[in-house]
Amino acid sequence: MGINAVVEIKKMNKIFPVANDEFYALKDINLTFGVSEFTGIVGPSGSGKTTLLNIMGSLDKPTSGSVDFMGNNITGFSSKKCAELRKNNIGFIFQTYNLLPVYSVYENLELPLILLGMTSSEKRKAIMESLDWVGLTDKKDSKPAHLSGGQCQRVAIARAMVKQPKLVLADEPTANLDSKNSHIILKTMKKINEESKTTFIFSTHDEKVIGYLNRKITLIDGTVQKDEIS
Amino acid sequence: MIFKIALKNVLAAGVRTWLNTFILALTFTSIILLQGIYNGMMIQISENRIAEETGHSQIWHKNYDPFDPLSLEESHAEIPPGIDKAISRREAIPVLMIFGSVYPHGQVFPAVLKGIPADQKILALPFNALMKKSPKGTLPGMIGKKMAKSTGLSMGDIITVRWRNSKGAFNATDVSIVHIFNGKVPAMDSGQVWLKLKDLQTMNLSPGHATIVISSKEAGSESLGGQWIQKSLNDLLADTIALVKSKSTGASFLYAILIFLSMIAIFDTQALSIFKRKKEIGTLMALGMTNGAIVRTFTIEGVLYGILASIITLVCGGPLFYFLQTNGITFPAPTEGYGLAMSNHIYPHYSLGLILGTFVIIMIILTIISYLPARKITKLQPFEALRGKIS
Repeated sequence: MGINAVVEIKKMNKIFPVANDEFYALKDINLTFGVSEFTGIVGPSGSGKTTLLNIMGSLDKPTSGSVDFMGNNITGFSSKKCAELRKNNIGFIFQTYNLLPVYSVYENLELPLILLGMTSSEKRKAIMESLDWVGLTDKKDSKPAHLSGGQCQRVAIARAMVKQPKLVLADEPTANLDSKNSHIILKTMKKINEESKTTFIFSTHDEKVIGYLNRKITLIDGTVQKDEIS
Repeated sequence: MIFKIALKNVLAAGVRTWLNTFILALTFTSIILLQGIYNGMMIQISENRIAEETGHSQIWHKNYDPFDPLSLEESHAEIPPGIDKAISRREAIPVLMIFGSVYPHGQVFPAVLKGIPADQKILALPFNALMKKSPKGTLPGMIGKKMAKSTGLSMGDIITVRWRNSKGAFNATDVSIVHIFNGKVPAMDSGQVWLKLKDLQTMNLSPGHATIVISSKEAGSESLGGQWIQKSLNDLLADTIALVKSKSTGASFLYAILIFLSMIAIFDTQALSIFKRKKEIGTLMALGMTNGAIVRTFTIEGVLYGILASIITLVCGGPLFYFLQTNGITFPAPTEGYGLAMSNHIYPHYSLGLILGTFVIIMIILTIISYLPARKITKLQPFEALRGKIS
């Protein structure tokens, strides 16, 4: 494993049982993601993009093979250790934002920091910095229902970044957005990636995304077809 | 941390919180309201019997059997000397009973003729009405409302009363109904005609005799001789205690049904709310919350709903309970016919035990039914919970 590797996947398979058969969602995956990468996993629906992100984010377990996160093999981690890993090191951005509807923007960002046990002043500083990154400091008291889709996704990015994780995993972050908002989101993520050196890996089949990528991994039927660095 | 998140969830949920809390508060109030009425009824039955029928203890002639009117002929004797002082201090009242019949409106009804001192102060029935003057040639008598209803008698009516005296001779006299009392204890009303003790003793040719002596004090240990038996309050209320016990079983069953219904109502809102928040739970997992912390958060949320509902119940239901306990509830007249020693005006009894007990039971249920669905969801892999589909 390289010194700067955040995630290293070796001979990883993910099989789902389907009736009396087996379905290979991911087959013999060998990938390494370094620090401050801005990588896109592209491919058609059902190619295994989300499954790969879920496994890297310890939201799911591989059937075989290994996944190392910062040098630790996480495949055998208990659910508690996985939760610890996610709490301290990984930020998630979802296609449907997954903001908690009853919380304000500020409270949505506060939640991961409460889990980290930060003090009020530390939380406030981190939240305002994160909102500043995504340009939504004026919306801190709004509820998600009062925000546009683009604004919601920017809040989701801010929530993923507020704890300054090593890795941000974004599952189809622009799929629910129009072209203008997609570019805003991508530019925001790119800017944060450059400023914070956080590794960004996201799944997409959105052509607009391709131009922003440093690295593009093409996944088809659960296998890596291409791994291109631009 | 978990409490903080749970509290934040509850306070931020707005309508969902108020809906859950309202349903819970309604459940608390209904259970306490009904159970309090039931408890009140049971307490009233005992209190009414003590006030109107039994006093605090009695002395019975050894042959007296309240369920066998035909034995009354042999169930009286001279009042034992040891009781005289208590009677003169008005701490005891002798009652003579003889079996006879009354003839209202040309019909015949069997009746127990009871003689009681008109100036007695122990029983809460207006026997002083027997001191009223009656038309010449008649004795003043009084009956209860139920007796009046069954015989068609009203105030001022004169009825012929027939009995067999202690010498075995049949005799008859006219009794004028000087008062119809509205008692709460059927045993003091149905099939009975009340006369002055002296009048009945004279009619029966048994001066100084009594069948029972009702005392305002707890049963003592006086030597009564072989003719008389001491009856404590527990002996006298044995049938009521048995009734209360059997009704308590029924009440417990009713209580259990109410709790069960409330449990379904709470489970419905709580479980549905948790299952609907599957995606939220998945998001919390993704943010790094452990399964245990998620289960505890949702369980605490349920308990917080319970605490909020308890506060609402105490604030809104408390004055209602107090009002009902103080002023009572008037039930429709037909309850008079149930044969229980109670009036149609019932004073519910809301004890601290009832209120706290109900809160504790519902809190336990709430904790369990908040815990179970949350635990079920956290059994899922985080990516499954994130899909948010209800399975």
